Amino acid sequence: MKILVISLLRVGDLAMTAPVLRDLRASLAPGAKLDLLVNSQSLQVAKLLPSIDSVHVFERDTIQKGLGDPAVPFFESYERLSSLLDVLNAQSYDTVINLTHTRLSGWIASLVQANRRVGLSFDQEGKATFGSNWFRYLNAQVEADGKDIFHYNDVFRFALGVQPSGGDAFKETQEGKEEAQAILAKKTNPESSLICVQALTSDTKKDWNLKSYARALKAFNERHSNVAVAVLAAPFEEQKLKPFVEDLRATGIDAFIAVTSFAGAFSLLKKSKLLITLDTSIKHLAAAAHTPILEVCLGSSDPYRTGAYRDGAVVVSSKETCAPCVHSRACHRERRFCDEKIPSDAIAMLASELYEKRSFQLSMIAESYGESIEVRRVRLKDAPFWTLGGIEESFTEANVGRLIDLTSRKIWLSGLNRSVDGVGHEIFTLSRMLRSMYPKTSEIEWRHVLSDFERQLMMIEGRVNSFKTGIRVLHGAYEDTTKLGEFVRGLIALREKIKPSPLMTSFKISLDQAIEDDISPAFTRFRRITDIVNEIDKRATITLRIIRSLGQQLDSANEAEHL
Amino acid sequence: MIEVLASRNGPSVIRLDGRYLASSIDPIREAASWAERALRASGDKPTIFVVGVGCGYHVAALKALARSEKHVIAMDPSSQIVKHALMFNPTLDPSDIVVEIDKLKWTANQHICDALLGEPFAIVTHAPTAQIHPEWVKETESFLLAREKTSFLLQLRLRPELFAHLDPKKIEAMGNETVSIKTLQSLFRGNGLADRQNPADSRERRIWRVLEELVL
Repeated sequence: MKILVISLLRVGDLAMTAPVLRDLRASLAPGAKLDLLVNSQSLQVAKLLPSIDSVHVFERDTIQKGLGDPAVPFFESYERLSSLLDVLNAQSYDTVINLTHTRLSGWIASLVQANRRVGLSFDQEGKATFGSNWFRYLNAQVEADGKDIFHYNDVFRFALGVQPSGGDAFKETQEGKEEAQAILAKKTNPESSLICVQALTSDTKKDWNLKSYARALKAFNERHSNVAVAVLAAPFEEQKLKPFVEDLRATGIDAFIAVTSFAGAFSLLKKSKLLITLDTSIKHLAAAAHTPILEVCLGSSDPYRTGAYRDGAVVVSSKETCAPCVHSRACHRERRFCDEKIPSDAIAMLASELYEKRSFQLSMIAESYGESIEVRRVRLKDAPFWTLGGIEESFTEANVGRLIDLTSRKIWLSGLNRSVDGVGHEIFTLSRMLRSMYPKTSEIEWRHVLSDFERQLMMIEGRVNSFKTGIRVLHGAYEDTTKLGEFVRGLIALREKIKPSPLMTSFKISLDQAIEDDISPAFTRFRRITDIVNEIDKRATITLRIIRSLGQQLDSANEAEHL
Repeated sequence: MIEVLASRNGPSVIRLDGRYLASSIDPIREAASWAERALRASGDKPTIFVVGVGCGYHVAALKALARSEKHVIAMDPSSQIVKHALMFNPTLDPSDIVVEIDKLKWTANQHICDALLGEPFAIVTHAPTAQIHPEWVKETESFLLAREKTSFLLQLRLRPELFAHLDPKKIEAMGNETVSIKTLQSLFRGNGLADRQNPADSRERRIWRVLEELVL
């Protein structure tokens, strides 16, 4: 079996998906070949992936430059790309997996000969194909915002049908170890512990002002004076960070700039007791190095899609309503309030807790600073999917409903509803997660919430049945714009009805797709509406099953108690 | 008028209409230095077109430096110049030199066609030839770059799979601006999807699709 994975986004995106590649490798038979196609900038990360056999390089910059530069022969870019494709096709891949999800990568995926394609590709007629419901979902998720979405790694894992495996997502190299050793030699006290700090990002909107950052580190240092601080930097960032580091050193902190390659950063993180970071690719290295992570999330950072894929990672963001802002646009406000509202003390205290591997004060800190910041923690261990929630998530319909909705969506997208075992396992995992999140919630509270959910779903079932009848009537008459419009108005009314329910957020998203498409031809629109109504029908059945199973577990627990 | 003279250090040089085609003092050293620069400039490109043969020393130096790693093709408008260059440089292979003054005939030359297709190439110009034949050098460079209309259309002849996807009427109506990916986009038939009229060539169209996405 030969597989090619296409990962043509940025370095951080490749670093983020390292656990997925590890799990994919673990799922393959011995002797299978797993290759990777990356941009040249990602090569230094690709070389650290133990799961990959060969790395092919897409010379994006050279090819792109060649297209625009009149001093470069016009057909050169074509020849470069064609040569690359010849090399890839000579490998005779069985499967091509496109984790990039851009039109560019989709066309490239379509050009690599293979029996099977997973992820975006284009067929003979130029129509998009996804090879999995999960990638079709990803296509729709791009438009969604908020927290009712799956982490990209989960989308990929579920699409590929791989389970989490143990083992390292990255490998340490000899060069990386030597780099790390050279940096550690800068410590004033060789016996002191180390923390790493990532102080800058590639996007100033995501940066936390260095004054506040310095204040946080000084406050941290007051509690932990025997800790060295390595300020990670790319070569071009060194000058900018010098005053920051000198300021720290002036207050007695053993701080130094650590300019490293990815390999060196990984080795350094393995020796570090904590990483304090902004939204950068370094957090993914830290996740793989099993380093505790404290992330300050500003600007357009969106942790729900690309957060550190590590259980227990803590994410701090401001409560400004404009966050996360649009990626490609400058801040539209007169000042960067998201940056200003992050209290240095809070960061210092959270860092201290993580450094000491404690968690009992996290919720107190979150509550104390709750007016200006939100403090959340990653749950991944023993969970059906990656989630980011409050340190002590309060037991509310919104929180529970959201998790049930995500589970229901996972079952649906993975096709698990076709198998009894599949659904049972997911419900079991969800149930376990809920019990650990809400250990003190009483049976009465659970029953109240579950029965409310059941009532909401039964209402939906009734409405969906009438829509199914409506579709049969509309079948021969969808060209009639009046009838179609009337039907869509019915869907709008349903959408308004379910809007407040956190249990049915994904139903609403699906309905949006049906309602807001007013440019497709009538047949295409009708077909989409039919598919969505059928989906909601099946999803409602799945969700109801989850809720009833959770209720039955309460009954079983009661019986066990009585016995 | 072609004159063959001895340089100060010994090797023969050509003086054409009063202009030296190589250093009159040490043409070998000049050629070695030129070859180093040319090799550097060629980067990772496996083929180098040398525009202007002159006395041939720079071509021989480049071939020696590149060894088998690069394919070197030299072009010149004058068969007489080339004849002398071959005499001065017995290691030069005549098949690596193309003598042709008419750009319209270049696409009939198999050697050139083979070098143009399949792999990237670098273009390095011999400055003395550019001084003596400025128009020919400019046309040759232009032909190789395929960035202006005539040269683009000439090279298109070598790419029938691509040509099959283009609309002849749109080609006819093509303007004289520098050829870019946008120019090519405007020449494709249909609405940009895989060309149903030429399904066998959809690989070609898809490759251009990828390139279009890079520019968007």
